[in-house]
Amino acid sequence: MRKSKIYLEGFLFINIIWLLVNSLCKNGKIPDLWEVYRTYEFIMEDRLLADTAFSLLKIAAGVSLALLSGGILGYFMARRSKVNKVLEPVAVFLLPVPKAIFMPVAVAVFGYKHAGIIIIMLIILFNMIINVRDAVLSIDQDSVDYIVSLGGVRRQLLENIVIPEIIPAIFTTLRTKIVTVISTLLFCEALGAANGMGYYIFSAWYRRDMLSVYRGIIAVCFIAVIIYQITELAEYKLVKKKFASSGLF
Amino acid sequence: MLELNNVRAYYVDAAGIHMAFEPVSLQVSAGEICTVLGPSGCGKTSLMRTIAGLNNCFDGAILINGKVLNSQSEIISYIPSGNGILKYKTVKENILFPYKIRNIPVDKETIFRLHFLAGYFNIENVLDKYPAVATEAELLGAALARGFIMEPDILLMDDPFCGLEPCSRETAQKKLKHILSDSSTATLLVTNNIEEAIFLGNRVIVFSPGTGRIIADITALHSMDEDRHSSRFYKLVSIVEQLIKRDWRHGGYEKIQNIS
Repeated sequence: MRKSKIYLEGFLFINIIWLLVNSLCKNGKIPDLWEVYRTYEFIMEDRLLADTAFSLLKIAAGVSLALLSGGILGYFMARRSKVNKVLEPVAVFLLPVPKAIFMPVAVAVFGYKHAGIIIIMLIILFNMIINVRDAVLSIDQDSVDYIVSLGGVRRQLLENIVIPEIIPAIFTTLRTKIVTVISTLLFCEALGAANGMGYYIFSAWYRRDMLSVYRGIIAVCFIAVIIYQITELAEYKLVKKKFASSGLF
Repeated sequence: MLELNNVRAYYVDAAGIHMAFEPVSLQVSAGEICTVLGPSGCGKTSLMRTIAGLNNCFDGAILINGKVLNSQSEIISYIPSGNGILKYKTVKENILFPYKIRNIPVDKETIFRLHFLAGYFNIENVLDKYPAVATEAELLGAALARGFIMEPDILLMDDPFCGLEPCSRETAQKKLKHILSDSSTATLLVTNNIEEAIFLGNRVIVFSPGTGRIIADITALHSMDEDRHSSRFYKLVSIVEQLIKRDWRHGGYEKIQNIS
């Protein structure tokens, strides 16, 4: 509840700042706040909802690909030193590189339709690999020994130790990367996609339709906050709740 | 009865094959508490792990009641030195975990036993909580409760009290001794602490340094219902200490059946 209150207060203050700036800039370059909000009345006739859905689908697809590939690669890097020897230098080298620069390569190989998904996957993938690998390496050997001594099989080890250990690493990665994912996707969509929030905003900008631009910006703000909150909430429910009363969080 | 017939374990690393301990032949009867004493690196933990089925590189035979030990059919409770409590499960889920691994349904009798053990080991307050908020003593209590919940055939403990401060350690030792005294479980407990070995065990096996071998087998220790701070207890500790120091120096073997 406290978090929601903070977000609402933030939204309110930003709108107040907008009103002030609008009243100071009388050249019409900053549209009137109420005029922008009034356009939401016609939202069903606009392609805003469809483009939002496209962007969300791309984010979901990119995140899913990163989770699957990053989780599997990270696990095998922890279990097989030869795999780690090959993949670790690649992952470490590419970690600080802005993945948006691979957009031309992604477009050439996968086409405009799927390039955004691939870039999203790349943004998350290398952090996911390293974090998952480190999580698997940090597994308490005593816990493993205990399950094996009971006659436990590999599936039970995965279910009861490996996956619970990996989940915090996954959420840490998602939470730290989700903002970059959204911003990079918007710019990737602006570069040649035929749908998505980035396409919506930048195509409106090219047409000088500033009301649509601001409508799109507000929509992106809400989507970003909601996605971030969902990630945080899921992390709390699945991970931090187990440690909350210990004072670690 | 747990029987080890010329059991010799080894491990393989980049440098080759190394023997963890020299051939061990040992029998631990049902209800017997056998403490294993020895310096670091002598193979005590390797012995535990081999019996627990965690090390398949061994020669010789490990039998229970004359049959080859099988962790799927026999109930072995292994308490590693770090207690092995799963941090993403509540204390209650940890205690009932053996039932989940073996696909045995949890019935009312099990729940009754759970609450009895939780009360006995003073962990009722943390049953529905995660291990992150429990103290070391509570985590050990949970590990012990988990160890006893299925009434195991064999109980293996690898220095279970190492993480506790002295007062909690003493309390935990008394509780363990008391519950074991009513049990028909064959128990092997590894420790570096002579006092602990003598207090808990009715038999003490001593390993030599290095690639360990059994150099002393002290049986027929009297029950320690008496005060462990008494002069008699200290005398007993001193005798065992002298024995160990002499045998570690000279590499002998002692079978001591009576200490008074």
